[in-house]
Amino acid sequence: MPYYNQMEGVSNRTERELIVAAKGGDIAAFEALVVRHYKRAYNYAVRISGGDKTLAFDITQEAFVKAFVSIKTFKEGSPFSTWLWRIVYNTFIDFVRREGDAEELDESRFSASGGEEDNLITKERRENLYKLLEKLPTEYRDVVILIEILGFSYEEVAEIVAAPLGTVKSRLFRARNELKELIWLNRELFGQ
Amino acid sequence: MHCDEAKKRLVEYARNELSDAEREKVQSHLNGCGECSRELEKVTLLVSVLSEERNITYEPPPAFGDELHKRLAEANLRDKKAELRSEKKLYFLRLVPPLALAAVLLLVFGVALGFYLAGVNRAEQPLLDVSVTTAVVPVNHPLKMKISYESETRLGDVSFSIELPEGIIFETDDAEIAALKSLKWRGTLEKGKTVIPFAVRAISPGDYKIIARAEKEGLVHNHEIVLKVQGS
Repeated sequence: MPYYNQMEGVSNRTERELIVAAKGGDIAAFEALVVRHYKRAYNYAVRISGGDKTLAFDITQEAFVKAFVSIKTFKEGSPFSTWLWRIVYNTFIDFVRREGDAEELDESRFSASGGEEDNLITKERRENLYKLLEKLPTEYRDVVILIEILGFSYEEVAEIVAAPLGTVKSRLFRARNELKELIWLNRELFGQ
Repeated sequence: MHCDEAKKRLVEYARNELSDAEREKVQSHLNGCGECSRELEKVTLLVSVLSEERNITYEPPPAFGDELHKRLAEANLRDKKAELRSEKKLYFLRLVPPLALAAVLLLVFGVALGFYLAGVNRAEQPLLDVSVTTAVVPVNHPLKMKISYESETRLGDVSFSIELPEGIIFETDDAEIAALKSLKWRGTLEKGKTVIPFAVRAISPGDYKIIARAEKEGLVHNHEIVLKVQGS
């Protein structure tokens, strides 16, 4: 059973108690706080790393370590998951900045890894989608991933990216438009 | 309904998320608009691709939790080491260990430093105050020093540093501190007198200058301790 599954339900402490403990360097407390976010964060990472699962693993780890290191700055009383996801989002944005121009896509990154037994056609479509996602401006791409794929609400995303609700909505609208055109231009890759 | 309005609703239309009334309006527009119908084709593909993607969840590898645990432990250790280093330094300064050797020279600098920040027009205050003390000392002997500060008020968040020239080392059993050329820390000057003790040793004869510095918000006091080290 994966390690993170074993953590769920282990702690009887309240979130507040866990936060206080984590601030004091208690690793188990921190893990109990964040375990339920591992999967979603990892899924976010896979989509922004063009499907490269090794990379996704690394940047997700980096995000959680960053959160642990900065937990002393967390203001109790504010929503913990929003704070955490802001760190995840900012870590991933930094990653994209470091990677530089997405024009030069390393094709080898799109080879499958990770052991899921998938329908080959579906896997190809996915990889093609990730290639196209990388062509979107970062702020559009993230909003599409967070809302359309990961299921966050507009309000949650507004908090995470620290932008007004109206801005998030208009980014999504533009993101959908651009993605729609990109997909249509490459529709043969999507079985059309 | 105009094209603009219809186009705004196409994603919801394709996802069947519109109210009956809205749906009818869009449908009716589409029936008479080739451009929007073509647009719907594109939107339908977009919606299908996204829907497929939404249904795909990647499992983090089984090693994820263990690897994270390892990295968190490393981060913790780095943190604790940094804390320990700064604690060690302050310990060294606060409790100068009793020195075993009989001939210990005690140099007391009863110099009052003009660190009068409260109620002073800073423009009039020189930015850099310097006091100089000179002493003749033997080589290879522990030298206990005390730097005395006078302040009108309690001042927090003062940056302190003690810098040693080549040839002078901190006198301590702690190898890590002995290897340092300078100590830097933030602390408080109490109202009235604050004394900072430390100990050094000159390892060869010559003239040396130790600089002890206190700084807050652009106001600096340097204390230069000139040691004329004699002996062989």
